[in-house]
Amino acid sequence: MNHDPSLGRIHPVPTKKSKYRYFFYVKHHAAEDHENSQWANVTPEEEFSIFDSADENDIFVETGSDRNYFGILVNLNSLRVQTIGTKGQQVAKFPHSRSNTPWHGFPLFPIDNDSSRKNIVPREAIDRMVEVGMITAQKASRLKGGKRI
Amino acid sequence: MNKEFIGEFEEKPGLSWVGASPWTQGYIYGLESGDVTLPNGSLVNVALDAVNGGAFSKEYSVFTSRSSVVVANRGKDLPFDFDWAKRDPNGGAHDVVLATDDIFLACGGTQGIKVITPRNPENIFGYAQTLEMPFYAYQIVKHASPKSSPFFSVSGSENSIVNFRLEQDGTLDRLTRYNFPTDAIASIAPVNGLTSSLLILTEDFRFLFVREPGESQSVISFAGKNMPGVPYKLIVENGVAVVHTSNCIIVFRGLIEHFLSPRLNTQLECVILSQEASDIFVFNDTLISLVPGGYVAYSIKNLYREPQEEILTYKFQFLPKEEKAFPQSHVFSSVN
Repeated sequence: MNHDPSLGRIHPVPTKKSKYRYFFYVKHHAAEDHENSQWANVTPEEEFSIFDSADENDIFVETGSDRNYFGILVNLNSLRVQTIGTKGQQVAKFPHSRSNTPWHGFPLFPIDNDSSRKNIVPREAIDRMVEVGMITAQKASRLKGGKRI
Repeated sequence: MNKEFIGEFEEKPGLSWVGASPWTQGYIYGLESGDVTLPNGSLVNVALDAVNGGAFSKEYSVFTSRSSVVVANRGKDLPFDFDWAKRDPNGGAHDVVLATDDIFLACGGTQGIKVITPRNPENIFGYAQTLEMPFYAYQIVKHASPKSSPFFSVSGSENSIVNFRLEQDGTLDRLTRYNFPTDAIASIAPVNGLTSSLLILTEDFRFLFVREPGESQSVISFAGKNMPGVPYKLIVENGVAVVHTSNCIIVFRGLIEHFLSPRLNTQLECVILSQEASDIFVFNDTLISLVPGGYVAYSIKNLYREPQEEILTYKFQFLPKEEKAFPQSHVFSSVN
């Protein structure tokens, strides 16, 4: 496996379905870094569980040969969709990783800041969350409008 | 069941936003497809994503989505002349308000506040961000200020609210910033009729009331109990406070009077509409709730006038306590 340990440690187990390996990228775990999106209020196990659930439920969008996964964290006690980023983000993106390279993820901002539409959750991923019962149609509408759920 | 009283359902699939038309009777509808429907029934596309906000002056319209902000003028014969339309190259916004006849303000997330000046075609889109701590702008409201320059509050990340004035030259003059270390802010609403007062709803159902948010005022806090769902949005209109949660819509009568003369353990009546809506809007007495397939319109007065079995009414208890706020005076940096 190709992985530079200085980028962050690898989670000890792979995802259940696709056997993807996951690492905790240090650049998304540095609260003082305002350039990159930062995880917040999420344990490493919870961060991995978002990715594992996205893989298990096929919450991905393919662009060409790239496959990007998207996920949320639902608090099992309150059933609320948790905030996972320092700026109130609630959806994580796991960008395509080449074979034999571990995956990583980061909280996605609800609105785009360059009109490319690459930095927001695709509608197809939101619709897939509804299909698998992760969120309701109403919550999906809110996400499509960049609103909190 | 009295359908008229309960609410009137209007079929309109894919609805994502509703605004009152400033030029004619009726509403302007934003759709998830990025289209808007005008009162005359015509359909125009303004975005690639769901329309999440709109604001109108005499001559201009601004529509927002999570990936775009577009401004258009009215044109001679058409409500919107999209041949003229200008699009912000720097992405989308959460919402937008009309600040003055010439200037619109939108919440641009990490970019702070977008300042949109259509009369300045060389430089329509500018930005204002707080200097000492980057501010993620999520919701903006305009106060009905009797003073000369318009007054606004913006809520955002770090559980903070920034209050500022818009000067005639389009610059923002920040007055205060309130940080609430233990309260996640769900929504804010100006209270009309009271000079520049602000009501804040937190995610754990506390109401925070600031009488003069532009000044260094203490915050009055009231804790609610047993309210269903996750709080999304707060609207105050004609003395009625409407709360939208993930499970229901709650309409409070007399809430505002309570903040003016707070007492311990005061009980309040509220009406709960048990439905999951994706968003709500209030226009005078009409409450509009977006539901799958369209929207339901309610008369707020009728909710209390003729209570029915389908609508639950119960007492709601508040526990007021003084809360210390942390107002800070700093300045905006403006980028054009």
